[in-house]
This record gives sequence, structure tokens and C-alpha cells, in this order.
Amino acid sequence: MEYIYRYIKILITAFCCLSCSNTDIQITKNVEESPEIFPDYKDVTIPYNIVPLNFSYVGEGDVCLIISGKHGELQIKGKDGLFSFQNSTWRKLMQENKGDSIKLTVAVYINKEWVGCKPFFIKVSTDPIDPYISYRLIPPGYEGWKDMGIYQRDLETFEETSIFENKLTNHNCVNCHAYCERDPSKMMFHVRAEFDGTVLIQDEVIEKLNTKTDSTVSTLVYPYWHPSGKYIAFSVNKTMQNFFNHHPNRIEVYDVESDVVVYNVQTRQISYSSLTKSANSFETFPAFSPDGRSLYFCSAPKVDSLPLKYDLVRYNLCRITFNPEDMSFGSKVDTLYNAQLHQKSVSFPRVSPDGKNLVFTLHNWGNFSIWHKEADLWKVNLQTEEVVPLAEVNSDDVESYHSWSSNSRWLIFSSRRTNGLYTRPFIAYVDEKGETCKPFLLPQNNPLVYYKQLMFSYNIPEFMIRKVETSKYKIKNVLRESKGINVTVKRN
Amino acid sequence: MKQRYQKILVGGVFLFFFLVIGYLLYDTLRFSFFFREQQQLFLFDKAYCLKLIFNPGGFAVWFARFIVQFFRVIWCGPIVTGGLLALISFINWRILRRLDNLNWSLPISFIPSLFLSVSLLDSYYYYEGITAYLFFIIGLLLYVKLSDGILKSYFRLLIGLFLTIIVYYVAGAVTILFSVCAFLFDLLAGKKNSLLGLCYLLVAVFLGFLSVRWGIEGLHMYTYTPADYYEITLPMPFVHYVSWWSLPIGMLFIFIVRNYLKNLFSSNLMEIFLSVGILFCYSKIYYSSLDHDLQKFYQNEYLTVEEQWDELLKFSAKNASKSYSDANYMNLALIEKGILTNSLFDYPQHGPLSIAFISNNKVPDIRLAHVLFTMGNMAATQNLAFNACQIPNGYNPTMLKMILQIDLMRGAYPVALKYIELLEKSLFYSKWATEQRKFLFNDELVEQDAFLGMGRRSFPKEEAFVLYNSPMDDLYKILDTNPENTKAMDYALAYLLLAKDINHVRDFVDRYYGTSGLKILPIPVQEALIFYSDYYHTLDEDYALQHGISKEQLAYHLSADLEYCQLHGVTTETIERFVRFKEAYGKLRQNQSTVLVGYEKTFWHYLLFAQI
Repeated sequence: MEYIYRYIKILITAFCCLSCSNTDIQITKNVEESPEIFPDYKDVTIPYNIVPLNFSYVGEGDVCLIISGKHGELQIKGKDGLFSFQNSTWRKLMQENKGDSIKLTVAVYINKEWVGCKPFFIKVSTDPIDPYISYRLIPPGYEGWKDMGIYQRDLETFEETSIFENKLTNHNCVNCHAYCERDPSKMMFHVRAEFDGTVLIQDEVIEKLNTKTDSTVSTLVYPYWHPSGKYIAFSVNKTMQNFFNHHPNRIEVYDVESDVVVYNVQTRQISYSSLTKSANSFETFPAFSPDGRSLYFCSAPKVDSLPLKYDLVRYNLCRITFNPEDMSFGSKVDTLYNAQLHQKSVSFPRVSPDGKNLVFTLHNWGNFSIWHKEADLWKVNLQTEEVVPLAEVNSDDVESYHSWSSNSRWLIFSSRRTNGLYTRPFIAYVDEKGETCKPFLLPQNNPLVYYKQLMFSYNIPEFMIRKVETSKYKIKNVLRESKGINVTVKRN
Repeated sequence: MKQRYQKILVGGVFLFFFLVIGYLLYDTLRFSFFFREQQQLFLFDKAYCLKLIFNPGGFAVWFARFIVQFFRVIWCGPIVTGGLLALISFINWRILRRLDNLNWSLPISFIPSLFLSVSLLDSYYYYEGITAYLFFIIGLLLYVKLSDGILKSYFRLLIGLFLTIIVYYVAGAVTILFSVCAFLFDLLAGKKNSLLGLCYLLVAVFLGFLSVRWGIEGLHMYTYTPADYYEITLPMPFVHYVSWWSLPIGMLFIFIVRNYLKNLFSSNLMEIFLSVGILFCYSKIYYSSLDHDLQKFYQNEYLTVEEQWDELLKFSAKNASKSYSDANYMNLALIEKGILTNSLFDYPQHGPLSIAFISNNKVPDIRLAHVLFTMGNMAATQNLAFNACQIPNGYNPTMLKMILQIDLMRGAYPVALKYIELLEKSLFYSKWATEQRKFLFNDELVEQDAFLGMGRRSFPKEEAFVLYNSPMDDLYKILDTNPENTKAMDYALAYLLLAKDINHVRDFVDRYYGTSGLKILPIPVQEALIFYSDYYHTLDEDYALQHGISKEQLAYHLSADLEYCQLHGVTTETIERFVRFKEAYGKLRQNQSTVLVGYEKTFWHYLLFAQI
């Protein structure tokens, strides 16, 4: 049925594109004011293989967009303020201007003349972006939900399809999807409440794992695949939440216990070091280095009297060596960034695939950064260990989860900058020196209408090198019918 | 002439059925229909409509939601539903009479509608169960009519197959019923090559199979049974199958009677007997399935949403002694009327849970959201109201309005705008939503607004977690920040009185008496204060020290003497009344048969006799 919808959508899109005819206007007056547009695509850097960056002029009157590139000029008339590019036109524009910039001038018809607003530029990078992203769509709520699902989006078209939706398993909770090296042939996600378990998919073989053991405080939670595909690092967390009476963050989500463990995909055993499972500290958010020989994680000295002393829980960025040959850990933990010293807390360390940079989220306390208005993205240069904020990327509102593209040139991250509550995915270019450019909001066919109407948050945006093809029917059958395989603890 | 008379008679029967079922639904389910409206937000929006319609069965869902939005008007639900059920019965009769034009096919044609009305007693049975049935029966009538004059079997087959697919797309799982009925009709009507009708069943099964295979539905149960129209997380009661089965069984029954039992069923007596039998069974099942407690909750909710505080008070007070939920609504009505503390003991009260009952389960609690919202506990309300919006049919409009107002109070304007734009696409909430636009990005106007301004000024200065201990802790923090919040003040006083916490009543009076929120001490509070004063002044010092009261504490308590009471709002009349009460109570203690007449509605009576 999804295929039928897709073809209908394509037909509708084609019709819309055809109806948006090119035009030929002359600007008779220029003003220095920059046009108000949504999304704000002014002066962003985009990959040449991205879908058309349709956008809307947020103002009154007839509008026209004049696009100037290396090979001439193109005009698009706005329909209800929306500038919608034909796919072929856009592709041509991207190919012709790869490595260069295109100039966009919004012209508004005022008092019987076309007035040109201050032009802006879009830089077209020669670095491609991974063709797919996946994310969970959830209500940005607190305890309740009804519909949620994990979806994938083709970045070269506007097509969004579901990987798994909770309507197939009685509206339970699905979360924490993760892929090995962005390759969906090795993927996993968790299911909570009814039919609970961890779904592990390896080359279309689907397993359901029961991951609670006597030695761990909870089922496996935040995942990160080892680049070899043999292991997955997880945190185990006993998580609680309370609601502030006035704080703009609204909620504090906190762990009263947490550790980091590594799961062996082949033996179905978990292992840990006393350094990642300390009684005196909370460890969480593990992430392997691209060579698979280091395990990064966040660690905070244990705080009693939670939640009352919630603002004393501060996580540092730590690293321990990991030996993939025998699944053993190093004998000491390095503190890469002591956030406590700065009265800050770290979450979500993610190393770029080229191993040069590590980006993490920094906020005032705790680990649940999506509910921290002050949360920003920071970068560690792993060669110099210099730690700096991603100033071009950050906003006054939340920046939280992030992931790297395969070529280390693109960073997708979640942000609440558009309205303060509903999380949206933004993509930023990172150049070879590790400098970031102004990010752009995930393009949509009609982004103004789409994002206004979308009552879900984008959660855990992850790049993928290809589409997930595993049948949700099969996943559902495994979840509903399989008792699951019990995970055990490796005893040394 | 006879035919005309018959037409009028049949029309009269269906009109009568409509009136009777409409009245029955009005009498028993009108608030339930209203609550159905509160469980959805229909949007006049292309994307919203297309998203619904593009799914198998989506048109029935769209149509159901379109209709249900009008149930905001209390009489609309019963009338529209009565009309739909009468229409279903009428079409049903048009189909059945083609099998045999006997009079008693008329009562049989009512059975599906009657059991659909029983299904509506269950709030987890979605209204699309009715609209889907309507589309199915229309589809079946079309099939019967279109295939009537067709001699070639394969034409009939094509029509049937086409309608099977259409019914599936329009109405969902009920297609299986369509295919069974279409096949059965051909078979029982003696159509040529009637077994070809089995193809409809095969196609219906195949469509259901595809829906599961493509991940549109989780289980075959949702593609072949009424469970498609039932809350997915719950097991569906058997009764919802009856409306489905009754039609094919009715067809078979007619066939058997026509061919084998015609003599037995041809008399009018049998017709009457059959009608009475159906009515008896129906009324038995209907009334035994009616959940009176749930209907009471719906009525409380209706009166709250409609802000009919006098009616709410009258209705909820009837059951307040048996149910905390009703007591919460009753006290909500009292506070909205501005008489909570003064009239507290005029009504049945059973401890502080009568003010705010917090259930341990995680079911979205809209009652509690109303109470906390009125208390000024906006953060806790926001959580509850948001969770209450996570329902299958979209947002609960009343809860969404609450969230929107809280976001305006918080100054979270972009997200408030998002909700305004959403509500503006609805029929009944659009005007209200547009009126809220003026507050966007206008702090001054928000602060000037009586309601929003009060809410904004009442956000506690002292940062803490809400509902961490009890609602009273939050009320203290609200009042610390804004003692002008009279509703929070009244709720706090009522809470302390109902908790029989006279020590904190004294602290509270110490702190707030004379402020703009507590210029006059309500009579029950006066009663509590004079009791407190008397209690400690008559308490043996040694006894007090032995029972954990320190000398300093005792000195503090004793500082509230008669003069203190008078200075803090206790009137001479209350003091004199207390003296008389003490005498009466003394007599009561000596002679158990004496009754404390005239003091039943006092704090003293509640303190000494009410069990909490």
C-alpha cells in the first residue's frame, strides 16, 4: 500500500511542480532588507545531492525568486509565498554550482513594481551527504504517548517511510534505533511495555533480546555499535522524571543509577569493567571510536538525595580503551573534558568517522539534554584536545542529539529553536578543518505548512548509507510471537 | 392505495424507531457522546483529511470524526446517531425484504442497529464502527440493487468485487461482513452461479492479509473483525460482534422461515411475539451494559467544560460521599462559584482527597487537570493535559486549550501559536483560538488579562518539583509568590481544613490574614482557629510535653488566645457559637443519645466526627 501512496504522492508533486511555472520579472527597485523566509536557508551550506530546498516567503503579496548561478539566472514564482523547485531544475542547479554558491533574490510585488530584497547565498558543497536519515517521531510529551514510530527519510527526495510503527504492537514504546557505521544491515532498536525486548537485525535476520540481567540495573538502554559490528556498547539506566513548577526546562529527567556495558552480538553476552560500572558514579551514553579501540562515555560522581539535588549531577567526558579481540577494557579512565570544573555536564559524545573530532552536548547539569534550554553542541579536536562550542550551529534553545555522516562532513542534530518544544532536525556542514557552517532545517516539500502541522518531535536523527528494507511485518511477528533470547553476563 | 398505506406505515415505523432510539440515547448517553467529542479534534484541513482518508477504512474514520465534532452540542449526538441507526435499519430492511416480503422481516432489520447502540455504551468502541457499518450496508444495498436485473453472472461478480474493494477502502474490516452478506444474499435469493460470491470473501480475506503484510495493521483481527473499530490496547467484549452477526443470521433465518416454517411465522401473533422478544432482550442487554459511574463522570465533565457550576454542584454533590472523583468536581464547582471555604461543610467531605484525588495509575486524568489548573498548579496541569491529548483521535480540545493558555502564561509564544493554528482549523474552537492571538508576543496584555495574568503571577518563585509531596506543598509555593490568587488561597484553606490540620491553619492565618487574598476569614476557618486556641489552652502541659510538643511550640500555640483570634478575623458570633457547641458537645459526651443539632455543617462537627 505504501508503494501506491508513494506513486500518488509523486504524481501530486509532479502536478504541483508543473503548475509552478517559471516566469520573467524585472526588479525595478532594491531594498536592503533581508526577506523573512521559512526555513531560514540564508547563507547555509548544503550538499549537492540534497532534495530541493523549497521555502516560503513569510509576508504579504506576490513574490518571485530569482536564482543566479554559474550558468545564468532562473526565476520561480511563489505560490502563497512558497518557492517550490522542480526536481530536475534543482538537480541541474546543484550540479552546475557544485563547489560554488547560488545567489537567491526574493522579489516582492509592491505598488505595481517588483522590489528586490537583499539577496542571500546558498553554498553548494562538493561533499555529498548520506542518502538517508532515520528518526523517531514522538509527541514532545512527558509520560504519555499514543502513536510513535521510527521513520526513514530519503534526503534526495521528499519520501518518508516507516521502519516500524507502534500501532503494530499495541501502541507500546519504540526507541533508541542504532546502526553499525550507518549501515542498516546491522541495526537495533528497543521496544518497551507490551511485547518488550530489543530488536536486533543483522542481514535481515531478526532477533528479539531480553536484556535485563541480575547484574545490571535495567534492560539495555542507550546503544552504540562497535565498527566491527561484533559489539554494541549500551548504558543501563534507572531513569526517573519530575516536573518543575516554573523552570523553563519544564522537566528534569535523571538517572538514579547507571552503568556502561558492552554486548557481544555473537555470544549474546554482556561484559563490563569495574571502571564503567562503578558504584560511586553514574556512567552513560557510550560511543566507540571509529577504530573501535576506545570507548567514550559520560560519567558523573554519584549524587544521593535525588531528585532534590538534581542540579549537582554533572557528567564529564571520559574514555577507556577497549580491546575488540577479547572484549576487554583498559585499566584506567581518561577524563577528556572535565565539565564539572566549568559547572557543566556532558551528554552524547559522538566521534566523527575520520576520527578527528568529537561532538558532544553540553548543558548545566544532568544528562537529558533535550529538556535543557541551554544545551549546546561542543566539539573536541581529538588531535589537540581543544574544546570549543559550535557557535555557528548553536541557538538560544536546545541543541541535543547529533550524528555524523559517513564522510565526516555533515552533522545532523536535533534542535528546538523553531518553537521551543517540537524538536526538528538540522544539518550542518563541517569542513576539513572541523569548522562548522550555518545549519539548515531538514527540507520538506512545503516546509512552512509541514512543520506547522507536525505535532511530533524528531528524536535521534541518524544518518544511513541506504534504506532499511527489513519488513515491519516480520519485525512485528518477532516482537509479538517470539519469547526472546535472554542475554547473559560474561563471567571472568 | 394499499401500497401507499404500507409505505406510510413503514415510514412511520422507522420514524418511531428514530424517535425512540434517539430518546433512549439522549436519556442514557448524551454526555457520553459529548465526551466522544472531547476525545478528538476534527480539523478542516486538507493534510489532516487526506491522511485519514488514504488509509483503508479511513473514510469511515474521517466521516465519524466529522460527525462527532458536532456532539459538542449536547442533543446532537443522540439525534444524529439515532438518525444513522434508523437509516441503517431502513436499508437493512430494504435488503431483507428482497429475500422475503414478510412483515416480520421488519423487526429483524432493527437488530443490527439495536446492537450498534449497545456497542456505543462502550467508550472504547469508536464511532467509526457506526459509520463503517453504514457504508457497508449502503454498499450491500447497492450490490443488491445493481445486481438485481443482471442476468450474466460475471457482471454481477465484477460489481461485487468492485464493491468489496471499495467497501474495504472506505470502511475497513467490515468488508468481510459485506462479502459474507453479498454471497449469502445471492445464495439465498437463488441467483444463478451464486457460489461465485465466494470470490468476494476471498478478495476480502486477501485485502486483510495485504494490510497485515504491508504493516498497515498489526493483526488479522483488525482486518476481519469489529476489533478494527475498538481500542487496540484492550480486549474487545463479545457484544460488539452481535451487530455484525445479526445480519447474516437474519438472512438465514428468513430463508429458513420462508422455505420451511412459513406457516408458523405467518401469523401476526408471531410477529408481535418476535418484536417483543427482540425488545426484551435488547433492553436487558442495554441496561445491564450501561456503566452508570462512567456516565456520571461524563456528565461531570460536560458540566465542567460548559462551566455550568450550579448544575455541576447539584449533580456532583449527590455522589460526593461515595466518590472522590465526584467530590473533586463538587469542590471545583464551589471554588468557581467563589464559596469553597465558606460552604465547605455544607457538602459531604472526606478528607483532602475530596479536593484533589491523585490516582496511582498513569491513565490521563482530565478531572485532576481541571482541579490543578484551577489551583494554579500550571506545571502539573501541563503534564496531565498533554498526556490527556495523547489519544487515538487527536487532541482533546479542552486539554489543548489549557495547554495553550499555560504556554501563554509561560511566555512560550511560538508553541502557543502552533496550538492556536491547530485549533483555528476546528469548527467549535476556532473563534476562541483566534481571540488568543492578541496575547502572542505581548507580555503586557498577558499580564493585564485577569486569568492569564493571575496565572503568570502565580508561577512559584521558589523552584521545586510539582506534586512531589502533596498538592498542598505546591499551593504554599503559589501563595508565597502570589497571595492575591484567591482560588489557590481557598483551595489551600479547604485542604488544611479537610486534613483537620489546625496547626497549619493557624500558621496560614498568621501569614496571610489581612492580605488581599484573605481579607475576611471564612467561617469554617474561624471555627478552626477558635478550636485551635481552645484546644491548646485546655491542654495539660505535662500531657503536651509527653506527646512530643516542646515548650517553645506550646508557647507558640498558646499565643493564639481569644484576643489573637479576634484580631485575626474570628467574629464574636463564632466565639459565642463555639461556646454553645462546647456545651452541647459536653452534654453529648455525658449522654450518648443527645444529638449535636445545628452543628452538622461546622468544622467542629467534621473534626470530631468525620472519618478521613
